Amino acid sequence: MKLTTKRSKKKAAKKEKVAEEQYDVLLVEHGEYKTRLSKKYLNRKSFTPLNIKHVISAIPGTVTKLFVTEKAEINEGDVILELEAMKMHNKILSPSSGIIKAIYVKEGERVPKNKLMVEFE
Amino acid sequence: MSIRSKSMDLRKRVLDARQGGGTKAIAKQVAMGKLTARERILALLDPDSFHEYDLFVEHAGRDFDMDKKHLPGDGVITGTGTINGYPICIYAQDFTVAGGSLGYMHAMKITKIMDHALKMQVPIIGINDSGGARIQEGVNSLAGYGEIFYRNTLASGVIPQISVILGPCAGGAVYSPALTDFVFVVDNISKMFITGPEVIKTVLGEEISMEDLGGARVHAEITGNAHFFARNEFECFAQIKALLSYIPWNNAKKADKFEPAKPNKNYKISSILPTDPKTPYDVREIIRALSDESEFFEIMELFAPNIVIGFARIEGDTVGFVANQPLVLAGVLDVDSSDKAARFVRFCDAFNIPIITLVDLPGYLPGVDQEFAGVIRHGAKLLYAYSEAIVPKITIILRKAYGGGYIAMSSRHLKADFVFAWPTSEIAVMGPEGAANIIFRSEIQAAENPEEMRLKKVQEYKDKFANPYVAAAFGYVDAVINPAETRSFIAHALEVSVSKMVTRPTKKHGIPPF
Repeated sequence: MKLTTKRSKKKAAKKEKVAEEQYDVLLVEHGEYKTRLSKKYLNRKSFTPLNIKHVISAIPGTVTKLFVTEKAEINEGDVILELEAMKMHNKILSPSSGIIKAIYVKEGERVPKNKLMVEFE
Repeated sequence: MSIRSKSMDLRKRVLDARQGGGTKAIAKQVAMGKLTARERILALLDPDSFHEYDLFVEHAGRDFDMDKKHLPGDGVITGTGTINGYPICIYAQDFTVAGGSLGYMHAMKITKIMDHALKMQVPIIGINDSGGARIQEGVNSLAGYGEIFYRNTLASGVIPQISVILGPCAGGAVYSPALTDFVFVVDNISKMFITGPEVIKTVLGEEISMEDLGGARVHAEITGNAHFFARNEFECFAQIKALLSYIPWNNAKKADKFEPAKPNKNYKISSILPTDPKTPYDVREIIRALSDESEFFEIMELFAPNIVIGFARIEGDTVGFVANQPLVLAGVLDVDSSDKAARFVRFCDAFNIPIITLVDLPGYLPGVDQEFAGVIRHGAKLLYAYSEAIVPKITIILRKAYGGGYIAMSSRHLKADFVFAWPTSEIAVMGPEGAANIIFRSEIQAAENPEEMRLKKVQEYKDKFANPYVAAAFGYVDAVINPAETRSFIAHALEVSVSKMVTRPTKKHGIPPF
């Protein structure tokens, strides 16, 4: 029931390779460490603060109706548009009062997630 | 009819049923690069050990003309057998029969063999290769899934549960593997997801291939749903056999003892660790230097490689290793590595496997993404798992053990039974730079040459605190030992803790920060 493998030789060769490697540097709490960075770490999303003048699609869907036009003055809570997504008609409400600067979507348009749909002045 | 002709009749029935979906469907399966369900079972189990049950089960579909269809074995093969003489229960979904779809009787065959495994206290292995619920059977196929999940949960921590994904496993079907202890995937064959590419496209308009969404590599590297990644089915079966050699049949037993053996001489434990705390090395070299025959069976090698987990043997007994890996991300704890290690600690605890923790980490990974991903609750899992574990816990501090990371890595304070430290260890509330900057802030600012003063103070702090002796003075470290003594200290600690007993407050179960 003993398991045997020929690991040792292979691993010794691998060890030499490690020694030659150029390392990346990771900064952790005032200390810099030589190390490898994982794929997931390199692909991490950087943080962008929320812009209150932007209305962004939270999920992908289809814009079924636009209730506002450019230059229109609207109040907080007014319906800006209707986004059909996940089989629901979602009413997208205005996050603040103000004047619409630009509208980047048309009725019937399919929008992906995180798309800038409407911008305030 | 004579007994002979009755036997001939039986033989014919058996052979017919074993054909599964027939030659055409089998050819299709082969064309996809897959073995058939029966071939898989025979390849995995000891020769002649497989005994099949419920071969003549008929499906229960009555609507949509299903009653006119015959589905041999209802698309799943179940039975018992041995692997290296180790008894197991097994089921394998047969994709050649109605796409391995799960109907009521199909599920009943699976739950029956699961009940059997739980009663006999032996591991259950499930080979998944199924298109999903059998839509024609409606709510009965949902009932089937639910019955399986319930049993997975009951059996959790009682018998080892192994899932092998050798084909599609989509929708509700994925939750059975997710509830089991070890998930094996094979490149280009395994596909797992809750909602497939088609649903994602129709509902969300996002396009992604099946492989990119739920292929073997995705689950082994990114999601952490899979524990073992293999390039082909035979490599996968070899991994399962190796795993079973390290774990016990059930939670009342210990893993089989092997013949004690010395580590390979090529691994010189004293020369692996660089003394500069900022220089990386592969901690697996140290694990191999400590293990019998330098064998280390790593789990989740590709996921969160900044922590290393796996099984090895010391003087013939299975141990679970948890080690920070300075080679990747400096060995920090983060969302994924805490999650990975915590689950492993709980497995070891449930199945009477002592845990050896090797510590060398600078702390937690800083970042908005980490905080937003819930590093607080994920990090807490590790504290919970170590505190909860009552198997022998042996901790070796190799080098850095700073701050919260020191506490989390099976410290004395989480009730490690033995804490040893190498003379190279630095056990401190934080790294010397950070600590000096805070403690001597006013002196550094007031100095004529602040940078010079800062370096001087960092050195002062290093000399005074960056060692194991401060912690040893409080008894937080039991012994400061040389690297070369480590194996004998571990072996002795294991020897004297065989009858470890801990009593805990009565409760139904804790509420870990899942």
